[in-house]
Amino acid sequence: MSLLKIRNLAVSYNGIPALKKVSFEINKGEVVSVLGPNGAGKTTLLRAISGLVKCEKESEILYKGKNIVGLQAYKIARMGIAHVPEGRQVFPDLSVQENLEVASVLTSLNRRSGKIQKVYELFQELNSRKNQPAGTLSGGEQQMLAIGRALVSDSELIMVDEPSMGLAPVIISRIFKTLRQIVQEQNLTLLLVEQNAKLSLPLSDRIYVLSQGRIVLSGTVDEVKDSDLIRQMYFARE
Amino acid sequence: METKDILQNLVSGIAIGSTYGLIGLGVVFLWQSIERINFANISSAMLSAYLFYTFYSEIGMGFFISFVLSVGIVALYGLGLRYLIHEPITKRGGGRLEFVVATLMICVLWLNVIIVFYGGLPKPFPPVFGKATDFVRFAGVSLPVVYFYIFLVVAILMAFLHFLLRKTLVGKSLRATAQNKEVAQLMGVNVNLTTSLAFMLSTTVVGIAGILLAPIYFVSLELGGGSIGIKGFSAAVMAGLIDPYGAVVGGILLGIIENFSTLFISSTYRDVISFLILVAVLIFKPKGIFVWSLHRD
Repeated sequence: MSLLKIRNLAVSYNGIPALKKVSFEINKGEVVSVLGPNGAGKTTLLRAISGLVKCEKESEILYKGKNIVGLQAYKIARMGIAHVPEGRQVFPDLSVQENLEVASVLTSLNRRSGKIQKVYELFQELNSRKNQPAGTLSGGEQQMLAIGRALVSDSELIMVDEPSMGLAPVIISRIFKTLRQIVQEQNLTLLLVEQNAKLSLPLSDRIYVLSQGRIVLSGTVDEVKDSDLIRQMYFARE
Repeated sequence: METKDILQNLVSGIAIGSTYGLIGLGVVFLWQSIERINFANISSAMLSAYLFYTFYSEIGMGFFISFVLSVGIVALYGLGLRYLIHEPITKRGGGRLEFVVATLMICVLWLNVIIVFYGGLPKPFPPVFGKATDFVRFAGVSLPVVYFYIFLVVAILMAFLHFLLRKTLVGKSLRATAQNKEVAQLMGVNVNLTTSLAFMLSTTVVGIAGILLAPIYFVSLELGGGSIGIKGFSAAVMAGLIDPYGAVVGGILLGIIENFSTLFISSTYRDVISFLILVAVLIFKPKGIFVWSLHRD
């Protein structure tokens, strides 16, 4: 059964369409990547799922069979959808520990500290900066914290928006390695939005390519990796 | 000039200033949560002072009950502000300007409501914080007892707020919402709740300041308008509108400056000086002086 099923999702900003009748689905335990250039609508897609932007009338977003279109963002989060936003967006004046605590609102009380401890084991850097304001962390550490917040939330579906943005290559590979580890260890479902196909293909089960608000290509990694479009978009300049 | 005078003015400056700080805190709480300035911020001070006067002096309830009742009603009034003023304006597409005009009118409305029910003349505040003639003598300095009550109440209130904001999950969620409302929602923080809490905290701290100021200003219309309100704004502006601790420090500094300007220049210019400080901060340090937060708009 699909965990998330999207049908005819359309979003426009002041009459200018950003997503045009997008349909796709994610099964439980899958890693799905959405690829596409800047302005393709990738971030809008995640924001629509999270309830941060208004969808057009005919749109349907079914999470575990329930339509979540029109629900308030915090209620969608409470159903078990975690969203690691574009550009990390940690709470700068809250300490690392407090950032994780706020994100653990949904986790039952007796499991909170265990969940937070697990994030510290995954990202040792954060452990040594527990009580530091998150705004003083480096970009890479902030990304780790942002992912950590999603992990403590006890969500089944984790959506990550361009985790590689603005980070050094060595940090990026570290973050992707951890993402892979998380998915393997903890039976999570991951929706990854990324411009960089080389990073996301090895991690993914299936791919959707978004261009100008439409899905132009979809399939398993093996099916699409040799397609002309993927080659043109991502490997042409090598 | 003797040390005694300096000490005297310092202590009374800190006492009065800390109440300005509480009024500034009211501005900060609301700005942090909805980025609006409530021009009827100071009305809460007048309302709670008159409520306390009614419960204590007119009905004859005990001090504690009267205090809790008046502050409680003012806290609920904060919820009223949200659901009767802020939400309807926002729903109809109104922005900051609409909120300013609406709250400005509410400030005037409350002044007139008070005139209708209590008349325009000041009421004597019951001597719950000691009589006007009660002084504490210390090292040759005489200080009104009321100052020590102010210190006590402000200290308890600040300790409570510090505990709430730093140690409880609700408080942490409130700060998270202040820093990034959208992402706070993504974490599952119920922003309806935190917004209501911010409105209630905002009116409550100002309400408490009103009861503390009443022995000095009497239960009067002065508590609901003009100069005291602007002193609260000055304190908030010094905190860049975003730092709760900065607002209290700003208020105390303002109280001290005000008292020393009375001492060295003339009491005629007392209010002028706080307005000058407000204008000067806005011109030279528009992001505030006492700001320890990292997030600045």
